[in-house]
Amino acid sequence: MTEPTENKLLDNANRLRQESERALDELTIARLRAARLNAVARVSGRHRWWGLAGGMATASVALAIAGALWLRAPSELPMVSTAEPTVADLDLLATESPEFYRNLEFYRWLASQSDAS
Amino acid sequence: MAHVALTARTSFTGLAARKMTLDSKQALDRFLAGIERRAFVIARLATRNREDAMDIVQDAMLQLVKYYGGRDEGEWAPLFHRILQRRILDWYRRSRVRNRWRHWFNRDSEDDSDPLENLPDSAAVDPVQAIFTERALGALNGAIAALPLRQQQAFLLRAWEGMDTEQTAHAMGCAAGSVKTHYSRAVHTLRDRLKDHSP
Repeated sequence: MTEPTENKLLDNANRLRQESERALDELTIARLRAARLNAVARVSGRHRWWGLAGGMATASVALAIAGALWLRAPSELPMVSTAEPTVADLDLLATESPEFYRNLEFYRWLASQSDAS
Repeated sequence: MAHVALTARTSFTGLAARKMTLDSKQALDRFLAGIERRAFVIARLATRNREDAMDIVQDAMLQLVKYYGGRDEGEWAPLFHRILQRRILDWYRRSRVRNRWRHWFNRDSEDDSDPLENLPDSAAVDPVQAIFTERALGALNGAIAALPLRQQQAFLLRAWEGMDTEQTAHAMGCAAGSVKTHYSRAVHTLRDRLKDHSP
């Protein structure tokens, strides 16, 4: 067996791209189309109040999804660091959902329950 | 008379603005339609999560339209990829911080297993794998997904988007020298991992 040349690697990478795009399921394609139409609809600035209302609705949904993601199993996330939290993390945490801070005690309690069981 | 002329001019300006908006919308729609699937595949490779990838692509589309929709059409591709890669990087950093805190709260209840072993098996969750009959492409998909994020970004922007070093550096928000290093390491790693799939 030999190492593939860079050109062969790039050829295969492009085939992979084409196949990956072709293999997308209908639901994903429909959601991408909806996202595109939603974005393009914002080109006109004539419906600012609708845009604001839509933005607030989106933010509410985003908060709900963020909560769900937070409670999701850690194994679904690709990077796990075992280092302790540092001050450098605070700027990122500052942009987290307010739910995170409101529920800190809950997470602490949840962790203690896991330890106990 | 002057009033009539002013009204006519205003109507003409309004029509022209509406036509311009319509043209812009059509052009943006064409551009995004041509790039949305590829962007999603790139985001999914980086996050290994369909929903997160969808959120990242949606956000990148909105940001492009909001801040750069009025720019020249030729500038959209590099700008879109810059936004997309920035969003992926933000996601990656947030995931890392979130995991660190989660681990801190639960450290006594978890075992000491290698965190890398907890990564989802991309071969099991990626529908592409189920469709591919060619082992080499399946292996390449897994190998690209396993690359460190910056190497993955450099490789995909160059291989899939056909960007040169400078354009890739702009999209990744780093120096050209860093792109060369990331790309070179990515190619080296991929060639090494794919030895068994090459004749």
